[in-house]
Amino acid sequence: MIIYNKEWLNSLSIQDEAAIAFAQGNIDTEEHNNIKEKYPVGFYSPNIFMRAGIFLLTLIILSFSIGLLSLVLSDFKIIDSFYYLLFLGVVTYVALEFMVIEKRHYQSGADDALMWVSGGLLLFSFIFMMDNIFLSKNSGQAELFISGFIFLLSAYFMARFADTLIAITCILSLAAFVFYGWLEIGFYALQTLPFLMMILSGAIYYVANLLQQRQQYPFYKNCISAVKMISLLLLYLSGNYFVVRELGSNLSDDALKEGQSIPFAWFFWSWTFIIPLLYIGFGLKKKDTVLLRGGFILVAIAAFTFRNYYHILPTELVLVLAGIALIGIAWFTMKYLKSPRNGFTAAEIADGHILDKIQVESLIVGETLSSQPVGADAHRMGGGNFGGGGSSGSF
Amino acid sequence: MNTGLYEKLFEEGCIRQETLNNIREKKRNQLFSLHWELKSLLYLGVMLLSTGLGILIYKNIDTIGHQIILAFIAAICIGCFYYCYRRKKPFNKEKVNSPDSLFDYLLLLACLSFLIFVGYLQFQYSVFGTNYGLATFIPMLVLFYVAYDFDHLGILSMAITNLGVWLGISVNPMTLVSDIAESNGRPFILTGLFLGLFLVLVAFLSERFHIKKHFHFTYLHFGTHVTFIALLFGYFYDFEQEISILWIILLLAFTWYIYNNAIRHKSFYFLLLCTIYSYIAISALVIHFLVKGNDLGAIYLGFFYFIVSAIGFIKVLIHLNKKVKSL
Repeated sequence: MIIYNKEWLNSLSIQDEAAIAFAQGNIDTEEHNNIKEKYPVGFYSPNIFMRAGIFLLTLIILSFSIGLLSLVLSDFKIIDSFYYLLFLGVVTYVALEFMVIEKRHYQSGADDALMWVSGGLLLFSFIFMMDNIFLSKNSGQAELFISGFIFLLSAYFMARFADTLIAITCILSLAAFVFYGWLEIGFYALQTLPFLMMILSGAIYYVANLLQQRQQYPFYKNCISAVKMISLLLLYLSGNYFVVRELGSNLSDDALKEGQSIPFAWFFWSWTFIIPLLYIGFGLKKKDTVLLRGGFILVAIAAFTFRNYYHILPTELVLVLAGIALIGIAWFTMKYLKSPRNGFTAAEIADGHILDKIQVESLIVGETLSSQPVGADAHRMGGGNFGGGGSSGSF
Repeated sequence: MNTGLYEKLFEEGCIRQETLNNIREKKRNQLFSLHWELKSLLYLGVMLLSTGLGILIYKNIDTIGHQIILAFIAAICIGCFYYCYRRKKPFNKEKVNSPDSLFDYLLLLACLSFLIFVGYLQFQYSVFGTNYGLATFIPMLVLFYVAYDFDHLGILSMAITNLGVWLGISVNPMTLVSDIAESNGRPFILTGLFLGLFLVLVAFLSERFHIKKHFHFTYLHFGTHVTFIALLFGYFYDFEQEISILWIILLLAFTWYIYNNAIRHKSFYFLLLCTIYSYIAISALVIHFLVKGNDLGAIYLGFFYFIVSAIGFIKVLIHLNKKVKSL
């Protein structure tokens, strides 16, 4: 099913492994070259900067080609029908297959652009067609059909191109399909929905985890770890108090008043707080980066959820206290792990990643942190007035 | 990560016996690194704390409590500087590796709280009077000093940003574009051009005279963006006049310089910047001529131009990629 040359994919994963081993000093240059010679890769896949450039330029080519074609055909009636979009989508898809099979592009930017454009065109032609069919009838089921179509389309693209973003789209559209489907047919749909979503995302995670552990489908291993990540997030969100309450109140006919609680509130509140901690705990126990990082992000989401309903402290005090706490935690952990303990270390392990070369970290610091004094000072230069500085974060 | 792969590689004669043994040994005691997690926590902590302090002092500015807050900020600033000063290695013209990431982020916190402190002093007591230039100039000097003495790239970026603020423009590409688009002044464009070229010059000099050679990238990054944007807007500003072609010629000359620089450093990033900005410039020029034609034929030609030129630039990118790789 997968479109790429399997031998090359295999070689590519061995070469990636070797590059990391080389960066860590496990193998020397000669051995690294031996491996590269033994496992050649014939794909055209340039580095991330070239990929971004080629992606943008391919989008330009596609949009102007489509524009030119539509301009030429503007006198005919054909471009008013969904067949035209379908035709464009199929043509782009054929171009994609051509680029990948004949030109051996693999994550080069051109194939990414073609993939998303052809998927988008096919989707729009489907929506167009649905509009024609459902025009007279009740269109309440539109979301159900659209998410179902996205699921089928992205499942096909994922199987064929093993792209991680497509894999994420696939899982999200599946969740949306089940969501809308249950709303249509479910028993006490609104009340049982959170539990159904929990079961669904838990099941997806379980399957993905099993596949990863058994090292099945090696060509899809990036997709599988992306699916794991997104299903963990879904699992948390389906029980998060904010999501359950606001989504439920949006979907039901009578909206909840402010301060009004929902049934099983205690369950959703404990879910909101305990799950992130569980993720972090299991992440540390199993040394699983996805669980650990996911847990950290979810702690922040849990904090926001709490603050949304209970204002115990003013925001700025919360910021200061949270800042001090975070610095303190990081400080003590770093001191504690100064020499590695229990298999953990605070030191960096090289992986030979290209982004390190452009010093991303320093740029992030420069862009995010220095904008506060800039906003304030520029404001002062303007007229020495102290009016709306509060929104800039600092004063 | 599995040793199975390495065993297979060994059987095939790609790696030596001792390497295989080494790798087996390493796998047995493999460490799990929390480096990036801890770093992110520190970064978040510093960001939250400095933002919180900024708002705190702004909200309490008329109450008695604000002096306590001020003392708190001063204490953080002095404490962090003291900690970093004691642990810092002596100044060297080459790269000095920082002791650890804690040092990096506490230094950052020190600088941020210093900026808040100076801003407060200026607002409340007008220490610098109405001399607003001085109020940004002095923090900038301090930031540059800290960046060089403590060898900190993040603070260097902050210092460069502050240099822009002192001159009245932003060095962040996105903000700069909207700033220039809103202002309609030639002085703004010329300041940008001057600042951009100055930064590129500093990048060149730091490399030439081996003064913190690794700062080269940061200077060049800001300098390249600001110069390109200033040149492009210079052209858009003088759009009506024939003379505007001069801006494009300048831009292409600048591209040539950055291009050669990028080839020398094997930097894909700067090659990409060259390609994108020169593509915008050339397209603007072509559209300009096509708009003069002003009929349907011109529109068709425009479409053709974009299709053909984009294909051409992809070929250029692929070619450059090969060239840099083979260096």
